Amino acid sequence: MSGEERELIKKAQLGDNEAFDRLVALHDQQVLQMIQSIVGNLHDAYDVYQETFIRAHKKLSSFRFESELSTWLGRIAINLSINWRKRQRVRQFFSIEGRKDQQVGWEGEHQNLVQKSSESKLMNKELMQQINRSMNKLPEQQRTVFVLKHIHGLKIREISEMMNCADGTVKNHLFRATQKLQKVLQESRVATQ
Amino acid sequence: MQACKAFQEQLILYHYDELNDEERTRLETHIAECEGCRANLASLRSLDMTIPRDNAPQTDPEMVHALRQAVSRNIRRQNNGSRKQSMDGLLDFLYPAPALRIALAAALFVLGFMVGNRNNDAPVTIPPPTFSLNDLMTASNQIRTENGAIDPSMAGVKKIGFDPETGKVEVHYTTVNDVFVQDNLENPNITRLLQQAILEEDNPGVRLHAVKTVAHMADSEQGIASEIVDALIVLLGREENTGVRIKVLRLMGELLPNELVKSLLTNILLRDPDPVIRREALAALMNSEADASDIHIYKKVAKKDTSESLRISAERVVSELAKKPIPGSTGEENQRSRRSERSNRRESR
Repeated sequence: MSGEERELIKKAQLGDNEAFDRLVALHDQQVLQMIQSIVGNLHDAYDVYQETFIRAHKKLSSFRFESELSTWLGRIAINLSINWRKRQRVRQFFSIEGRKDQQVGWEGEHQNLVQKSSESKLMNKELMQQINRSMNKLPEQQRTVFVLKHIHGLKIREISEMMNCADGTVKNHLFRATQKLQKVLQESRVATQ
Repeated sequence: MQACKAFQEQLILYHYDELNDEERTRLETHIAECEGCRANLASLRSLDMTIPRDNAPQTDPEMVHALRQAVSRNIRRQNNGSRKQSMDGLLDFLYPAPALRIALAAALFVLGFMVGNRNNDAPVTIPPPTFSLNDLMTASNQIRTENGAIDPSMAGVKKIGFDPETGKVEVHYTTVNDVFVQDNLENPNITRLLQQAILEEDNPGVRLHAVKTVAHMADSEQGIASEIVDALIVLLGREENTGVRIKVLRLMGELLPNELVKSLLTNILLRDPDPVIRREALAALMNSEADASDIHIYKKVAKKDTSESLRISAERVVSELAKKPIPGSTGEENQRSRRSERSNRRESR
């Protein structure tokens, strides 16, 4: 953490809103990207973004400089994003058309991520849909760890700090998520051969 | 071919570059000899082709700018709200740390007593605080001084002044106390508190409990004050929390409807993006004795709603309403009109 950032945090802790605005500007792109990857829906990502920084502002007095501010903000953003997905799942469970027509996350804007790769353009649509569906079926913790590691390239130590759990737990989630997705990929290859 | 069980997790960590040098060397030696592990590594690489690595979604700079402004506005609005409730002036800069505010107010008290006990002729000097900012930040709400405990319910200092004639510091502070009240809805204070919880409370959980409380009162057939109904109408128009909206809609169906409620419910039925909410609006409208003159609304839902189950429900409502008498005419009028039709037919014969 730079000296300037430390000063900004101290000022923001004493109620300086301008300092807080500058902290937001320093970190919000990364936070938004992270939220967008977990939530998978741009419109809702904007809501979670706002909730993240409003909560960060409320809780900033409890920030004790024991971690990077980006990690602390990431933790708030991840918690809110996972809660959002859980709420969506509950809502869709009780909504017939939700289950039928909408899927949380990767079926929506995240499909673009899969399609961006030139090689994946050649892949059949069915396989991409299968991967998307499998990602959506992963337990939230496994899915979040996979997204943070695979899409955002964060280190396991960073993820464990953000998710407030041990490195071993993160490794375990990553292992299970990757294995499941590998299995889907292998099965689809066998089916097409 | 399967990878060796002992190396499965390590292969994934290797793929994501999370092994230390020693582990990496050991694994690479093994991979060179093991076909199964080589195949597994190739499968991991093919996963990268499907879902590209290190490929975070791009953000729109204009949107990010707009979001920053929205956050900034929101925070300033919240600050202003809290300031009105707490204190003006001197301690504003300490916002938003309540423990810090209380601690500093306590410190001012101590200074007040010290200054007050001095000889009036002596120049007034205020000693510097003997604790650090960190101590203040972590101070508990109950602060003990040499003169005893400071009121732990202190909310904020309204005014501080020094009277040179008496040589005393005057502090006017407000307190926060937990208050428990219990009464029925006829008590205007209860109505006012409920109204405030419904309309002013930030926490959706509290709003939900307020609505549930009104629902319980309605179930026990206690009259609901018109102010509460009005508050519920306002809440229904602006509430964003789905749980609270569902509860209000259910309650609306049970309360005696008025035209405003009906038009609000109709609006929700026709325009709300959430099918769960639309379904609740339909149920609420059905509870309130659907009017045959509104049949066109239900026909529209039966024809155009994106939700299949809602379309079916609306069709059922349409067929029920079609059996109802012509709107605007009472049963007696209908009987009379049918009688006069029959007599006209007889005369014509």
